[in-house]
Amino acid sequence: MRRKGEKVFLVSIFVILILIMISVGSRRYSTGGFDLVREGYYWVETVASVPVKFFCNIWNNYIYLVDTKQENALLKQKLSSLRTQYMCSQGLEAENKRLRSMLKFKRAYHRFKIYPASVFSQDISQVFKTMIIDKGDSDGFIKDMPIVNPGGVVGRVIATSPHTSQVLLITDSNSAIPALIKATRVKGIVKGGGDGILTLEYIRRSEDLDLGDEVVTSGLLGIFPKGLKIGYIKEINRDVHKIFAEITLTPSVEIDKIEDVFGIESYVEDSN
Amino acid sequence: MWKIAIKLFGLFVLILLIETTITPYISGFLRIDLFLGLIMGLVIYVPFAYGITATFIFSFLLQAFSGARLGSLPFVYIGVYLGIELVKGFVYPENILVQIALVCVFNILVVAITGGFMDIWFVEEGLCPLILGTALTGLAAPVMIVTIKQLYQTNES
Repeated sequence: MRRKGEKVFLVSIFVILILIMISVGSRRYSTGGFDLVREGYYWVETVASVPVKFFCNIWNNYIYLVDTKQENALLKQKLSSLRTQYMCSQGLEAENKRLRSMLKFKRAYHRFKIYPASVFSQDISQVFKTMIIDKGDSDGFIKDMPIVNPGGVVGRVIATSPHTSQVLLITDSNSAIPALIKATRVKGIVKGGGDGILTLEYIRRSEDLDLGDEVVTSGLLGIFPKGLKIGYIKEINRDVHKIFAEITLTPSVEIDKIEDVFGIESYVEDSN
Repeated sequence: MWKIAIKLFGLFVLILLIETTITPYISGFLRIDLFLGLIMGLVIYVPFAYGITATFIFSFLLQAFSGARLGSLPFVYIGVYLGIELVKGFVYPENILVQIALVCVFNILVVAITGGFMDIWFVEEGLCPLILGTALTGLAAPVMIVTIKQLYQTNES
């Protein structure tokens, strides 16, 4: 009888604690306390991976191939960086062209500052789509920083610690990015479907849309710079009873295969 | 008591390393929930007060590695703990097949409930990753349970 009372007491305590957490955590994302946990885990993982990396390095760099592997990795990293910069400058170039033709303004140059990072771990649950990268606020990563890779938009930073950042992926059902269809300049919102695909919402069904049309960021809200690739139209459903078309997109980035990403600092106008 | 607590924490960190770093390296879409096996081991071999406290603390720490809403993971995993505690009166939990079956069922429930928090029907996530993830979660459970048994019995002796 006493043990039963003890059990009921314990369960009650935990139920109360959970209720408090749920009510406090109406803001979905993690708090400062979790940043400490992630930071601690970062160091544990770093220490734990030392022997593994040591033996991998011996094999990869000395036994398997002496120099080629290292050189290849460096070239790949450079190529990724250049491709990302090229993709970013494509959006800027298009923006510049429109500005010049519409407003006859002096030619303007924009520049992105890019911070490289590697994926450190992925979300432990099947439902939520977040990942943790190995760079944090000490490396220049800040909350709401856009995260991209050479393929396009990956997500945005939702929490940081000194050496880690949590990234909300575009496929998470809580992700929403202002976007436009590149060919027609029609604006909408890209939302994560949670199942690896995206939906483009608030596009009237009468709009001219084609399968395979490229969808890019519109630059509204100021989080994502204009012109970053998001995905391609995969499916269009024009229901006559609905105002908006139901549009499904294929992300331009293979979310499951991301290894390296870049954080983009808000672009600055070059005075030259 | 401290010895078992430290050992359990070490096991938890190992699970975290496998779930967040090693499993995604093997496959981007596959999720194996080793924590369910750990919870079942706690229910079977560790006294209730310690077991439920460990479940609460570990599931709270798991929040740091998920986009789940604060409190949702402790809610789900404490629910699993109590569910297994309830079911263990009707089945023989030390049987490997029972362990696999129970963990598979609870894995699907966990995915469904966490999805429910986000208004996502869990089948939308893709049936194949779910089935494969559930099967591997079930198969990994006996290993976790035996590990808990060994940890606790070594501590007792």
